[in-house]
Amino acid sequence: MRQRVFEVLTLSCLAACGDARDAMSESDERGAFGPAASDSDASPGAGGQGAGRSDENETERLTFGKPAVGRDHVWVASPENDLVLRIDGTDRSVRTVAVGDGPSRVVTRPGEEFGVVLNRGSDSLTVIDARSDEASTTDFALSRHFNALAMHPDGRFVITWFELDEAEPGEDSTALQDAAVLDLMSGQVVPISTGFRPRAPFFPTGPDGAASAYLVTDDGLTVVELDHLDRAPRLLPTATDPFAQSGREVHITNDGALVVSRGRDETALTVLSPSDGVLRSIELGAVPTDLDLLADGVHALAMLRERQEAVMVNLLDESLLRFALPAPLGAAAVSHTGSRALLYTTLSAQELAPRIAVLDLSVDPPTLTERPVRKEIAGAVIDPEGATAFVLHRKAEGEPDPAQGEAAFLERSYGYSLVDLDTLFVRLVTTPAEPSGLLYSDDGLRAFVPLSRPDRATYALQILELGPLSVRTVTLPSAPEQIGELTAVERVFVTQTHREGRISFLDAAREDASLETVSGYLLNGRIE
Amino acid sequence: MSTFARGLVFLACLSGCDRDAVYETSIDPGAPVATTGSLHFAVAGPNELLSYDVSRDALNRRPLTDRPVLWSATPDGRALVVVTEDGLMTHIVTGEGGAAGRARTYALEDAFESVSFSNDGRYAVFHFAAAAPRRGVSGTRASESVDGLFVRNPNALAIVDLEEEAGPTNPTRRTLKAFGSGPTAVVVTDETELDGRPIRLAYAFAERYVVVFDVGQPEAVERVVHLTLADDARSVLPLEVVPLQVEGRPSALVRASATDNIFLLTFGAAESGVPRPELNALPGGIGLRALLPVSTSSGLRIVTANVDHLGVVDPQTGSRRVAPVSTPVSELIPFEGADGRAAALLWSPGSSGVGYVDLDSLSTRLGQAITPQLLPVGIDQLHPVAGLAQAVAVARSTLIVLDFESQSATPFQIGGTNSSFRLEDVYVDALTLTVFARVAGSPGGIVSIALETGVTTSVTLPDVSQLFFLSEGRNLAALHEDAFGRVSRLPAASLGRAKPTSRGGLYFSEIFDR
Repeated sequence: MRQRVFEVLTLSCLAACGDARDAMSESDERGAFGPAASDSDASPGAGGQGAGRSDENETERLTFGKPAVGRDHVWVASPENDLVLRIDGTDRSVRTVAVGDGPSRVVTRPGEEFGVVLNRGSDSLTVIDARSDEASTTDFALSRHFNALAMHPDGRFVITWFELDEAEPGEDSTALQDAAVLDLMSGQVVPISTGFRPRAPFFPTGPDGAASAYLVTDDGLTVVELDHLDRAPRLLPTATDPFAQSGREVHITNDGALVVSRGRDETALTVLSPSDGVLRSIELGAVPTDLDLLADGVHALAMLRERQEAVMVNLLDESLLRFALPAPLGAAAVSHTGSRALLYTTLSAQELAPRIAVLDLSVDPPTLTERPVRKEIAGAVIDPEGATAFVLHRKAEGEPDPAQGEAAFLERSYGYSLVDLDTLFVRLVTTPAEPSGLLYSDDGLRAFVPLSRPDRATYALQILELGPLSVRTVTLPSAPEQIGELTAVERVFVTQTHREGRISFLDAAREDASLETVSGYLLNGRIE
Repeated sequence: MSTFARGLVFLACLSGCDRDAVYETSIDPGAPVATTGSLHFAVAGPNELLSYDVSRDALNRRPLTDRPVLWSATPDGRALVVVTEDGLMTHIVTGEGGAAGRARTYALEDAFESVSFSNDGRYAVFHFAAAAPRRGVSGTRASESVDGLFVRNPNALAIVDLEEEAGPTNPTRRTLKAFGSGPTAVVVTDETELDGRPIRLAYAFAERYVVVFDVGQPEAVERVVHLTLADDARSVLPLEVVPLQVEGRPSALVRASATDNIFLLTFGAAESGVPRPELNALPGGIGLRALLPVSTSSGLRIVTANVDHLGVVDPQTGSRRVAPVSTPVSELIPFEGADGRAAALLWSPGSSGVGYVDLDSLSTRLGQAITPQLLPVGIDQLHPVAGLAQAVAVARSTLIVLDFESQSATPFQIGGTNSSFRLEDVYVDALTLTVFARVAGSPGGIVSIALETGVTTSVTLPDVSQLFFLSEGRNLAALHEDAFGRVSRLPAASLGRAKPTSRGGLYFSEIFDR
C-alpha cells in the first residue's frame, strides 16, 4: 500500500516576496515532499524535491528529522552511547544494538526490523538485522565524511551524502560533491561524484523495475543508476541557462520520466527528460505562485494569481487548459488521483472573505465550486484517498476571548478546517495550541495532528476520523516532535521533547485507547 | 541513640592484690542495640559484647576477636550482628543456645561499617559507609596514628545468608562496578518471582547510578542503571527504592535527588543473573519527597508528595496530575480507609497540619479527595500504630493520637501547656495499644498513654538517656547516664505501680566479679 507522507504545516509568513525567494533558494529535501516517517516516497501527485513554495508564501510543507520505523519497533539513534535503540510499539520495551561511533541517522526497510545506521563519528555504516531475536550487525567504512542517509524503497540500496545545511561547527564539510551507495545485496560501498551540494535523493519508480536515484544539486540533476554503479552518474541541467541551475524549484514525476522546474521570476516551466537529456520550456504567461504535479506524470497544475487563473499543463504536448478563477487564489493542493484540486490563497486580503475553491477535474467540463471558510488560510493538504482536505488556518496576534465577539475570537484562535470534498461541508476545529504536524493513517481512515503551545505547557494529539469528520484529543506529557505509524501493530507514535527521550504510542483504532509512554529511553542505552 | 563518653577507669586493689592490665583498659561501650528481650553493648577496649537479658536480669559477656566497628539488630529484633576490625562478623540469635544465644562467625575480610538486611532478616549485605573515616592498619583511627598506608575498595561488599553456616560461598565478597563513587546505601528487597525463578534484588545507591544485584545469586553479574546521560553533570543521588509489580513483572520505583524523575525499573526474563531492566522515567514533579504506588480502579498510579502538592502519575501514559494541599506534605502513610478504599495520611515534619487523602479518587477529584486537619502544634515525629488506622504524632511535650477513620486528633500534654519537656524514644505497643515515651527534661521520667482509654501513667526516673521497649517480657529498659553502665527495668503492664528494678556496673561486672 502506498505509504503516507508526513507533513508539517506551518504558518506561512507574511513577509515580502524576498522571503519566499530565500526559501526557494533553500529548495532541498526540506521542501514539500521529502522523506516521511516511514521513509517512503513522495506525496500524492508528485515525486519531488524543492520547496514547493510560491511567491505567495504558500504554506511551507516540511518534514522533520525523524526516527525510523521497522515492523513493530521505532528505531532511534543514541549518539552518546554509540547505540541504536529499538522501542517496541506494543509493550514499550527497549532493545539496544551497539553500532559505530556517534550514530546520527537511521533508515529502515519498510515493514522490516532491518536498518542501516550512519555513524558520524567513525565515518561508517552499520547494517542491523534484527529480524530474529538476536540482532546482528555488519560495518562498512566510508571514504568521506557524510551526515545524511536515505534508503531506496526496495530496501537494497542506501545512499549517504553530506547535507551542508545540517553541518555542525567544526565538522568536516568537504564532501560537497560526493556521495556513497551501499548495495546491501553485494555488500559493497561505491563512492560516486555528484553535482555541487546534493540534496536528499528521489527514487523514481522506473520502467522495468530499474533502480535509480535522482539528486538535485546546484549544478542540475545527478542521475545515479543504482543497478549499474560501475557507470558514472549523469549530470543533467534543469535549466537552459547554465548559470541558473541553482535555486530552482524542482518537481519530479513518480516514474522519473519528467523533471519540472522553475526559477525565480520565470514565467515558464522547464521540463527535462532524463532519458535523453532534452530540455523544453512551457510558457505560462505569468510567474506561477504554486505548482503541483499530478500523479499521472503527465499533467501539472500551475496557479497564476496575477492572472487569476489555474492552468492545467500537459507536460508532454505542452498544451494548456486555463481556468478563470473568481478570486485571486494563488495556491493549490491536488489529490493523489488528480481528480480534484483545492485552490486557496494564503495572503491576507481585507476585501476578500476567506474561501476555498474546489476544482473537480473528474468531470467534463471541470467544475469550480467556491466555499467560504471562517479563518484565513495558511495551507492545505488533500488526504491520500482524495475525500477530505485539511486546511490549516492562520492565527492573529492576541489571546482568543469569546467576549471579544465571534470574529475576533476566531481570528485569534489556532485551528484548522476539515473539508468533505464530496459534499463540500466545512468543519472548523479551533485548538488550544498550534497544530504542528499532520499524519494520515495508512488505512486512510484517520489523520493525526499534534498540538503544541510551550508558553502554556499545552501539548496534545488530535485524532481525526476522516469519515465522520470527528475529532478527539489526547493530552501529551510534553511537546511533540515527530509523529509516525507502526502499521503492522496498528500503533501511532509521537516522540516528544524530553532530556532523556520520550515517546508515546497510541492504538488509534480504539475509541478508549490511551497513550502508552516511555520516558528516558536514552537512559535505557546506559543500562549495563 | 546517645553515645557514651569514653571512660578511663583505674582501680587499685584495696586489699593489695596485683593490678591487672584490664583495670587500666579504656572502655568505649558504644551505642546500645536492643533485640526483643535484651540490650547489647559492643564494648571497645576489652573488645567484648555485653548482652543484658532484661527480663531475666542476666548478663552475658562474649569476647570479640577485635575492636567492634559495627553492631546492629536484625529487622525482626531476634538477632544481632557484630563486625570487628579484623573483618569477622558474628551473628548471634538471642534466645537460642541458652542465655548466651547461638552464635556463628563469618569472615567478611573487611571491617565494613554499614549493613542492610532483607526484611525477613535472612540476608545481610555489608558495605562501607560513604563518609566513614579511614583507619590505620594498627586498628586505631587514622586521626590518632597511622602505621602504614591503608587502601580499601569502597565498592566492595559482602553478602551473607544468615540462615546458612559460613562456607566458601557464604559470605560472598564482590566488588560492584564503579563510576567514580561508592555506594551510599544498600536496600535489599523481598524475594519475588520472575518467570518461575525466585529472585531477591538488592539496590546499591551511588551518585548518578544504581547497581542492582541478586542476593540469592551473589556471584551473578550485576546490572548498572545510570540515572543521567553521560554529559549530565547533576548530582543525582538515589534516595529510595519502592518495589512493586507492574503487569505481573517485578519492578521498582527509584526516587533520587536533583531530578524530577521517578525511575521505574521493570525486569524482564533472564536465563541467569540479574535481568536487564527497562527504564521509564516518570514525571515526579518538583520537590519530590515521597512516593507511593497505589492500585486504583483505573489501574496503577504513583502518588507523590511534593511539599505543596500531591502528584498522581499514570505510569502507562506518563501523565501527571496535580492536587494542591493546604499544609506541607513530605510523607505518605497508607492505610485502608472506609469500605476498604485505599487512603493515606499526609504529613510533614514541623507542620501543624495533616491531611487524609482518598487515593482511589485522587486522580479524578484532585484536591477534593484531600481532607486537611489542623493540629494545635507542629509535629516532629509520627509513629504509625501497626495494624490500626492510627498514628501517634509527637510535638515536643505534646502527644497527639490521630485516628484516620474518624479523622480525630486527641492531644495529650505532658507537664502542662508551658512544659519544657520533650518526648523522646516513643514506642507504640500495638498489642496493648499503649504508647511509651521518655520524658527529657528535669526531672525526667517515663510516661505511658493507653490509646483506647486515654489513661496516662508516669514515673519519675532521673538521668535516663535512652528508653527501649522490649517485646519479649514486655518490659521497658531505661539506660541511665552512668559511666559504669546502669539499666532500670520497668514492667510495661504495671508502669507506675511496680517499682523499677535497676542493675548497675554493667560495663565492669567482670571486674567487680573478681
